[in-house]
Amino acid sequence: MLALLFLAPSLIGFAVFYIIPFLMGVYESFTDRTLGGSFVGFDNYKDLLASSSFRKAAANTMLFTGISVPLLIAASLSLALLLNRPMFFRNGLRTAFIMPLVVPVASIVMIWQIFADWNGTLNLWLHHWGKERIDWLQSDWSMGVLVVMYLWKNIGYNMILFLAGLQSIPQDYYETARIEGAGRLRQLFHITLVYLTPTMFFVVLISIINSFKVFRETYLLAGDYPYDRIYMLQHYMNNMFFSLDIQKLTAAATLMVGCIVLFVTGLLRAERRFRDNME
Amino acid sequence: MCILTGLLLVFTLAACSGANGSGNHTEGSSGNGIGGGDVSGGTSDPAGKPGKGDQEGETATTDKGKKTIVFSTFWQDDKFEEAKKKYEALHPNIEIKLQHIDTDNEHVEADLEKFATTTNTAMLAGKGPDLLEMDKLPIEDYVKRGLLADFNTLMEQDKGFNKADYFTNILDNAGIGGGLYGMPLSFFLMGFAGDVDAIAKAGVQIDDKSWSWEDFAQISKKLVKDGDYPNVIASMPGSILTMMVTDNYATYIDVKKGKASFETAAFTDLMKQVKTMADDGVIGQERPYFFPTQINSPGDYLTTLKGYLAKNMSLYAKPHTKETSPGGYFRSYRTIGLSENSKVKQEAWDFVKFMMSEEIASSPLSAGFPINKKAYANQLEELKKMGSVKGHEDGPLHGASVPVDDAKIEQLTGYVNGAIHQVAYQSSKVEEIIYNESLAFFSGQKTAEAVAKLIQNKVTTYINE
Repeated sequence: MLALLFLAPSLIGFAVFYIIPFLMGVYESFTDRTLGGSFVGFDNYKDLLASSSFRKAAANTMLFTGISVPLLIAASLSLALLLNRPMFFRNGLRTAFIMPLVVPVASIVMIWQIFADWNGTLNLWLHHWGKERIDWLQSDWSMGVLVVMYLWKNIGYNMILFLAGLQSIPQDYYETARIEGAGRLRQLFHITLVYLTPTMFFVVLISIINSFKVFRETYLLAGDYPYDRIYMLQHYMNNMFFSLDIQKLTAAATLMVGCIVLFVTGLLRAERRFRDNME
Repeated sequence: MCILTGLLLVFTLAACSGANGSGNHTEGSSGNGIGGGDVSGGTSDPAGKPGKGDQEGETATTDKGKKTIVFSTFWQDDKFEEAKKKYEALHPNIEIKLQHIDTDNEHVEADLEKFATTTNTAMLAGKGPDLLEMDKLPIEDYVKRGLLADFNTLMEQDKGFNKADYFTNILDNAGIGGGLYGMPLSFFLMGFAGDVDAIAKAGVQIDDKSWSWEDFAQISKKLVKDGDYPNVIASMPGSILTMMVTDNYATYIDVKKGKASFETAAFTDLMKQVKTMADDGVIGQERPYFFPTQINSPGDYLTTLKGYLAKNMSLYAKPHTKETSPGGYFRSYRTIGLSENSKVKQEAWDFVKFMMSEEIASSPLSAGFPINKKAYANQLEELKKMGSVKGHEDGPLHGASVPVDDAKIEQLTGYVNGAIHQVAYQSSKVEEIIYNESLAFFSGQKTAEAVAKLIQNKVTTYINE
């Protein structure tokens, strides 16, 4: 009971600002107009799926998450492993990797804009090497630019999470393994990765969520109608909001949340099964 | 983040109005009876005699309560302030609440976006103002969601409204999707200011009633070759290209099928043609034969045409397709929308009608030709009385006066009555995309094909949302 009392403020806040609006959004997505509309079943969803821009946005979002998350996990894990052992300037390096988290987005975007613009730094270098310039933000390369930006921005945070996970693995395990003659690789796969799995689940989840957040940078970088390779679900929703098409917007949001919930449930179930196996 | 807050706004607003909805209804049937004394009765004092109010029943209660019309604009506008004061003096039972955004030069853009977003959400939630100035709002989206009332119906139902008192050429052509959802209180004339003498000297005949862009290109060649001036039109190649495309919108964009056709030889040829025009000096920033121009008022007509420092300037309609009916171009200004959800629709319409009437006198120098014919005639009278119009101190005339010339005024009235093609107040997304992407081609940075591909790419995304 007492626990409920303490939970109440945040619960109320969460309900008022997230759950209730979202449920209303779900309701809106089944009506034909904002407020006082009549129930139209799945018409909005049909319209939504008929929109080729929506399908493109969904595909791009999935592609981006599919590419960037595994890359980020691999990169940040390697970094964490590297920085977990004594090395020169370790603390300085750790701090350096966190820096991108605290730099304001606007200034990050400006640097990237200057860097990747048609007349930007990157193309200047290409020119120096006598190569044709590439319109980084207005070609299929744009996805690459986003991936790099996402990696750069999130690698530090994930690294911290992994470092914490690594440090919670008892050193005895490694010692025992070493005594029994296990090599480096064997230690990595059978001790580090195994005991890191709970952390891994969490990091994967956070990384996926962060991969949706890359919209902010994309929007600032390329505007509301970017090259169609980086036209994300959030672009679609944002544009729907500005053209007052709340029905399609809520339908898209419901679909997206539905997919995320499905995925996360699957992930959590996998984690539980893993934990049961461990015991 | 943007979407999230947007969503939140919509739904919390929706939640509020959902909760209030039923309450408002009961309030409405009892006659909105909050506050306000009644003057019409003369001797009656509703506060003192509560019994009387009850007896008078429904008909009286509608007159009794003071009704409020909320009118939302982006800029503060003295014209609306004046209308409000006059109208409230005439109709003591009506209160007009003017809302505007306080902004300054540094924050205009951010404030504009905020204004649009909050107004959009409020309108969607059915809680918006009764009247809105639509100039800065996406009127087409409002119409699509059925948020605005059709003034055509209101005008037809209103026996006291005589459409012939107004510039019907504007009223008939300012519609969107088959209805007049925004009432233009005033309008600008759009066209090319052309140097008549110089054109005649070059031996060129121009029939601006039916000249197409093809004709324009032909004429331009001759003007550049035989005429005195280095350029034909003071503009940017991107603007010319955008105009050409919007004139042939259907050729490039099939909205129904969601198909754009920019990656075609026709479009790249068009781009190259415009580039050639720029290279040949047809389009340029030195002395031209034509200036794309916007005429704001009778006074402005005189000073603007003189401002180009040629003796004999005249307004030409911009080139258009052969299918376009001959006539000039206008842009609505102070376009008023009436919320479909307004509880005081008739009262709001009455106020709009008042703003359209000649009661609101305006100087012949203030921005916008009035939609009311009499008000326009009054302006001309006043202009003639003034005898001359002073040019801007900072402008090309350096404050020199321009005499009022009856022949010129006559000509202007012809233009005002002949403007039948609407130019949207804001440029559309497609126009923006074409203009921005084509810049790289005109500056020689990208090939026409690469730019066409990008335009195709973005426009396709846009029309298929």
